[in-house]
Amino acid sequence: MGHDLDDLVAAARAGDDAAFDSLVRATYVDTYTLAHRLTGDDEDARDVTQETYLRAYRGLRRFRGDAQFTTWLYRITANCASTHLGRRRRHRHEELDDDLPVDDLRPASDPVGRAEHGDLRAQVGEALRALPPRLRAVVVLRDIYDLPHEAIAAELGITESAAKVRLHRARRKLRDDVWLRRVAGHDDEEAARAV
Amino acid sequence: MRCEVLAEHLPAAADEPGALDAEQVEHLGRCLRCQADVATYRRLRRTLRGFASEHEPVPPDLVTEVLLGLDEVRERRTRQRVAGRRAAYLGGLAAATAAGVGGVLVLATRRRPA
Repeated sequence: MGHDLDDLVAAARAGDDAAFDSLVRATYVDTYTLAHRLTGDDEDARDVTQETYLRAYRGLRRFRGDAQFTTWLYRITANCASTHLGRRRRHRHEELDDDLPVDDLRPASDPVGRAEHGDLRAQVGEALRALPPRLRAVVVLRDIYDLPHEAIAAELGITESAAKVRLHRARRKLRDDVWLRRVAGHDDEEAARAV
Repeated sequence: MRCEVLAEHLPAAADEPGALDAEQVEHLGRCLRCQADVATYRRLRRTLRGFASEHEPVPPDLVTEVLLGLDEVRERRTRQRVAGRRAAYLGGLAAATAAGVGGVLVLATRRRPA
């Protein structure tokens, strides 16, 4: 797969449009998944995916090949998602502060409820979706996609230290949302049994 | 060193070996509570890393839409390239015509008897 992609990238850089189309087919599921994780919305993810490939097509000659093509694409996706969310936030005239928890009111997203089923993976996924977008972006890019702090900072338009602060805040919030509530839920159960 | 102070640094300790100074490392070495916290952050990271192999359900028409968008960009580029060539050709033609007319005028002026 890696070599195939490398060959396609080389052909696309040489002006082969069919090769670029093949690159799209080979990577669009990953790109959409990342866009969805960053935006938390189907339509936004769709727009970000579209924009990502347009930018990648226009900028392919600038891709030097010192990173993997997929990593380069992740960075473009992160940048597009950041721009997209920033535009939407300005449009709505609202500010999503890093410290403000964004409540996800869907019943299935209640981490406490899910804790009873002991499904850690599902709980972490739900807590992640409930994070404010700016915190979610850094934790997704660092802990799921393993991008370096420097790249995350560059694509989100923030300093490296700000990226780290957001990352640590995001991890702490995830830990609190999943593990502390889990313990609290367990204590409540114990208390109810004792009564 | 108090656990509350170290707790601020523990999210970084999950993946950055140099995130803690000597005093913090020393506290961590003997504090079960902080060790448990670090273990929790590491477990969180492992769980998050596991998401890398999962995919969101993709809209069925997405890839077609992306490819159509690219086709539009290519068509626009081709049109611009053709228009550019046409403009260059017409410009060249106009310049050649102007030069020819100018040459004829110069010759006509020189031949006029004094």
